[in-house]
Amino acid sequence: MRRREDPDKRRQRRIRIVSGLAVLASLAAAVRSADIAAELARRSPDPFRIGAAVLGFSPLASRLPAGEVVGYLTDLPPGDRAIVAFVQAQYALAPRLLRRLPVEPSPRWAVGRFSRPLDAAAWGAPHGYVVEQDFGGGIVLFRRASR
Amino acid sequence: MTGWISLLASALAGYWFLQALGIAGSAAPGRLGLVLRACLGAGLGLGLSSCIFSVLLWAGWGTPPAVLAANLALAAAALLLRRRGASQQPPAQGPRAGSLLWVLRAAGAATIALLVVSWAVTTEASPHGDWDAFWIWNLRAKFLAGGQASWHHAVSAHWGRVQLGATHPDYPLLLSGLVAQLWMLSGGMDPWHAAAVSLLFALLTAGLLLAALAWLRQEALGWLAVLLLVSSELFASQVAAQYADIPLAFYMLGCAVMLSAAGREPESGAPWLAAGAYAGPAAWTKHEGIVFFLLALGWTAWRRRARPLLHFLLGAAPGIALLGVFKLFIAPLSVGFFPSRLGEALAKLADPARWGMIARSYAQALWDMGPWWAHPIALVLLCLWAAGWAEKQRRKDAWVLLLPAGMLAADFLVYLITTADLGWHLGTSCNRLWLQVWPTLLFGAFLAAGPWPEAQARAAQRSRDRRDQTPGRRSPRR
Repeated sequence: MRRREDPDKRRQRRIRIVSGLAVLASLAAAVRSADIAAELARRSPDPFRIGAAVLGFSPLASRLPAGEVVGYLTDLPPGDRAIVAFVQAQYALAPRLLRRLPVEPSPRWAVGRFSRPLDAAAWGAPHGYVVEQDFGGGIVLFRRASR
Repeated sequence: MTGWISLLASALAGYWFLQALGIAGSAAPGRLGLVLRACLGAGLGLGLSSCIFSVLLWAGWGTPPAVLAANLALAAAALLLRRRGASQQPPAQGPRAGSLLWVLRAAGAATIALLVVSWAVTTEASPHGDWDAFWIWNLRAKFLAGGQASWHHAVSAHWGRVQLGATHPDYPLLLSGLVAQLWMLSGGMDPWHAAAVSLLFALLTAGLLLAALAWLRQEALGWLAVLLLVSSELFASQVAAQYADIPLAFYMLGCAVMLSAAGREPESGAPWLAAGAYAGPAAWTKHEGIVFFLLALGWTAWRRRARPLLHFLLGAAPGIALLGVFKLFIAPLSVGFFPSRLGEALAKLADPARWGMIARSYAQALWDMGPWWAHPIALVLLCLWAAGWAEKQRRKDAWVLLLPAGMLAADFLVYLITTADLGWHLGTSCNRLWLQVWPTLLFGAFLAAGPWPEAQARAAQRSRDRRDQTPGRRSPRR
């Protein structure tokens, strides 16, 4: 006749098996997760190009006092691209606060973020700004024209 | 470097405050007792430091020397309290580890190492984090780090108007305040500092989960919970994102741990005080933390009498008082998701399509926690099946699961009545709501589990030790 196994021993064996399963599954899941992270990092590093924006705006940022409210001009029509461009510029230029022109009272400085080569002076003039410096890559610093 | 020294001082302050209170002093065994106190203390200290930083800015003293001095003063005050406080008891010795425990330890350490590698690889590629990091948390940190000239931009409604519903200038400032301190004191805005704060909170959460379960149950259960937490896609994918959800999850877990500990020491006010001290920073981290604070407060009021409630409120006072000032005078709610008319809210509540959509989104977020072959919920259930339930008295500790359940229910209600596009609202936040409660869910689930074989080994060891200590008996090993 077969002896019945001690329930406590059976429980312990069950726990060991489940622990082993949990260990193996978790390790495999962690490796998979690390793989996915590495693949994503390789395929689309910095998907919103924040690093590039910080680099691109850094010469302009050094010209602006910290904490200043700064005007913002763009040729992009309202939409996702315009939002992303604004977010890039705002993050790169913080702790200065960007505000879309027109703004009352007019800030002393304004930043232009343009998607193509254009006549920047013509964009600043209606708001009372003149070009201070064109940094290239569609990044322009405007100064409020003296009245 | 000065920034990290300053934060280290605040972390030590938290550690010493807990020692002065006698929290987890001798209860947690060996090195894990140190891990428990270190994780709880660091989180408490960082929370206090962020509160002090905000007060300094609002008072017009937001300069690097003042911030550094405040953190050092906090540490000095805590050290003084610790010396005057309860006498330090030697930590209890841990049990001899069996082979199963060593396997769990090795696997847990390996998953944590993989998590750190993933964080490093992702941060190398995207050092500024994901969208909410550079558009909410780190951007506000930049404004705060600018000191008196710019901190008010962090709560500016102008910034909030750029993309209504997604910028949250009225969000509390715990995470941004910590990152801002580092940037202000280091004199630059190195994105790796923000990323390191994110990793720090992830490691504190894992360490707290491990050590709290080792304290209140068994080390093996702690390692199992850490394995499931760290290997879950939900947690691992968010560490490098630099969002505030993991810090919030940490403070929720800290409060839940202390509430569980309070049940064991009903006469002592210290655990209630400490529970409040984690609920306060939770509310100072995100709006969901305010809901959590109210749930924990309600639970304390319902379960106990006036004294624990007073202790809880006293512990939460720094965070809650600061939040009150912030909401009343600094950044009143500017981005509302709630209907302005009762009729509109009732119509949304009565719409079955919304219920279905939210339920599907909850189910999807649960499903996405990990791959089907290593799904953490399935593994938790498997562990509970294998170990069975804890004995009746201990099983009562699992009431703590009511807190995350209450959070999920409150979030469900918010989704039901939100005025934002429901699809957008769910798509951008639902999985992170699960992330916020995930460590506390694991903690509660493993509190309810029966003993792991290590406990039998420990019991056998204890029984052997007792025999050895009996006069006239000699240990066979000596």
